[in-house]
Amino acid sequence: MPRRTLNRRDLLAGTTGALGAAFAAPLWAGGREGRTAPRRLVLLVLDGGNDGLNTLAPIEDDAYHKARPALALAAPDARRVDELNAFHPSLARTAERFREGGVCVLRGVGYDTPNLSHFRSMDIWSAASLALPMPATGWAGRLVDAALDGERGETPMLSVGDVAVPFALRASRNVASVVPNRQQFRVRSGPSSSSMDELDARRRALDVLNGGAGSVGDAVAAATASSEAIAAALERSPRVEYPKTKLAQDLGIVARVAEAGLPTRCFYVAQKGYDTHAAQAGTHAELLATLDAALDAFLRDLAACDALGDTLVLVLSEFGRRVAENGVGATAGTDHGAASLVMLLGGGIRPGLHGGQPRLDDVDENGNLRHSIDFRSVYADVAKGWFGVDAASVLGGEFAPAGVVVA
Amino acid sequence: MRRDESPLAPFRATTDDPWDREKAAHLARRAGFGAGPDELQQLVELGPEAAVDRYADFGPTDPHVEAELRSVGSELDIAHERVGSYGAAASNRIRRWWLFRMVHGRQPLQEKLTLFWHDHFACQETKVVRTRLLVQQNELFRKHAGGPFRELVREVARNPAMLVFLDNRLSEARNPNENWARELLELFTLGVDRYTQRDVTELARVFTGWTTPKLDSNEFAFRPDLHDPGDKELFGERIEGRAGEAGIGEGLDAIDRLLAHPDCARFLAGKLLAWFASAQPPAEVVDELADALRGSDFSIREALRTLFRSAWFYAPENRFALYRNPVELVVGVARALGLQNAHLAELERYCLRMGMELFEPPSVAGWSHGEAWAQTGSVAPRFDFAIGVSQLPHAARRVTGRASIHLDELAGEGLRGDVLVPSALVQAVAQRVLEQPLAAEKEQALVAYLNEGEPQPEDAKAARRWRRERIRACIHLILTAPELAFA
Repeated sequence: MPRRTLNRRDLLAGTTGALGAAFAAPLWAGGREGRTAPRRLVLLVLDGGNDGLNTLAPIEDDAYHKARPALALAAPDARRVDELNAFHPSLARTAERFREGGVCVLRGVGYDTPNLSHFRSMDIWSAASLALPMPATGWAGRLVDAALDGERGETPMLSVGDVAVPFALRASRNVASVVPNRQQFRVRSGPSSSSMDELDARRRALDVLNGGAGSVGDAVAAATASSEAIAAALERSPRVEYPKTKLAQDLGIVARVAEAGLPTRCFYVAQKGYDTHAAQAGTHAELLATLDAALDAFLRDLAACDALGDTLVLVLSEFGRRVAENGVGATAGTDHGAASLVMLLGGGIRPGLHGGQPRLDDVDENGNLRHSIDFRSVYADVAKGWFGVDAASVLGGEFAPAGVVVA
Repeated sequence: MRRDESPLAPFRATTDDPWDREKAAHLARRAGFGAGPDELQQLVELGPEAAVDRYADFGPTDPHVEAELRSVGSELDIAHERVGSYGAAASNRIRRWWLFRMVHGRQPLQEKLTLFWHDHFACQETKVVRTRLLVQQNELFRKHAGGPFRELVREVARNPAMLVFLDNRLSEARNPNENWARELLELFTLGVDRYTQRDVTELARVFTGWTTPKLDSNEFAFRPDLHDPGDKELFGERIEGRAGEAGIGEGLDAIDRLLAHPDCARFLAGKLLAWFASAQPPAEVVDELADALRGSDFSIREALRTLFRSAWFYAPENRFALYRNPVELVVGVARALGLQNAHLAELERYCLRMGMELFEPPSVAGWSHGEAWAQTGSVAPRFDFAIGVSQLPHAARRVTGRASIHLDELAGEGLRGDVLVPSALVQAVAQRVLEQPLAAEKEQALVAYLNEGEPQPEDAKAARRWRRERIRACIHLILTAPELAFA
């Protein structure tokens, strides 16, 4: 069944619902003329615990202002989305896109009995499991294995911006590739001064050395296989101008790989620095401004190369932050929190504000927001609605879809 | 292992199971960063006990490396008034300075433990910014490398880089900051889920007023006026609140409580074992090492001596069973190849590219170890390192001003006069850098590669160049072998 690709105009026109049916069936059959790109997921992780309460703030809630005399956002700077809520002033473009129907925000997302550790929480979000010991694979890795029906895909997953393969992308069958930056991912078989014959001869010896070497050999094979395809993809110029920030540059790499039509199902990009225990106001404003500008460029770029409709962006963080601030004036920060929000952008989203704002006057024993939606409900939506795979097998249990992805 | 023996019973050499080169090499890889052939020979001659002591009995400073550093001069001078307080030049210099110590030093266990503590009490340059605070912290880790752990924790609690990194310098009675308190429990002493959120908030109150006089300062200050003098409760027991200068005693008491907690020694033992012995040690080994820690008032040196002397440590299943981290890999190769002037070989760049930038761990939890070091992202940088190292200039004598390797010596039996013997060359280089023979089909592939291409030219000078290019190619290829990923 030929499938229309969603573009930004469709999203703005609010036609996502009508197109939902077209999305439901074959996963990537069809697509743009002359190209069959599968649907892709971009995980954008705000590393360190993003303060959800100051990302989309309940600016009319007295409890909010009482808990945060130094940090609370207020009109007129905050970017209002309705009578009660407003985005952080740094998220101006995101707020505009929200008003145009291009952003989905789901509040009150978390899990039971959080212990407030970054590392434990990131593991939980990555594995989609609260069990100990942790499963060996990440949820996105299992998702990609399922989407590929247990086959090995070509560059099936790609992490951009760091050398390490994130836990979320660990899979049983498929191996994630990595592009730490534009310059440093090509697998070379010899000194650049060598002749082609010499490089080929060394490549043959290298292949024998690295053959059948278990996980190390698998990594060599995967890195070698994707190296040239990604290098070719990165030769194209972006369709829009990107900010110079690392996050924007990383997202630009994702856009090029998407534009080139590589069948990569899941991308992983992180923005570090959200652990704002101290001096939060300035730091958080800067982080969100970087995020806002990078996302805006990325989404416009994807729209320009007709890849926006195939791309679902899920923005998440390991937890939110404490309702009450921990200091005075410019040094005020917030300690580790619990429930927070996730954002979805791109194709297939149900735009608007979903999930209720957790009550600020009914916090848990640690002073943190209570969750009303298990984070795995969001994953279930992505698995079922976006990739059409059995969510329960990916997540190791039944979770009611959160209703943020068009099924 | 016999039933009546402790899980860490000492290794005793027998005719069937002698103290040999393989065991000495295992010790050198784990207790240090590997050894060249001469050093290995010495370790074999020393016998198992004295060989372990050679690693464990490091002094407060390494006079050999200090002298070497002085002879290099200003390039590795880390005194902040000459480097500057921060900036790219300063941060590059401290990385080179530390890697130089690891490659050329004679107290490898001290340097390895310094690295271990940097990973354990991980602070990031991006937040601390001031280079001299990072150097100060690094020297603290080196000074207290062998423990006692109690002393080390006390020092880290008052360490300016840590006070900046985990925000405790801003923690005061009115607004206690949980950052340091939480990681002290979770990452530094007990492990996750061994405490309650209440313990975190109470411990944060204990450490209110532990600060620095100002942001740039490399000194500690206790400020009674910022300290919360009320009573606190840790693990369900009261810590008596104290006003005035006596308030600092609460923090010292709390550290004692942490070390007395039943999980502390086990947590630390598990971490030491993961670095030095096995990623999945049997529970009885963890318990035994934890006992060794408790029994020596948390002496890291003595616990490791027990470990390195044990028969279990040398068990075949423990050899080549740990993934090397990038620093271990890069430094290990440099030592095995007898690299000269390590500070000029851009080792810090290779470590960065492989994902282990010194002074910039990815988070306060340090680096992720194990298989993470051999995943896809490490392939391109590891291969580039293999190319880069094999292309270093050749020097047969001691030189200054450039990094170099001695190609003819590395060829070993593979170079007989002016004849290159490919199979012997492959064996010599494999033994040297991998410390194990290559599988037959791999060796054959390398020999076949070396036999391809242009034959050795007639002209003597051209022939020497040809031989050295072959030796370089052999080093390059063997450095890409997956065996190198393990120690």
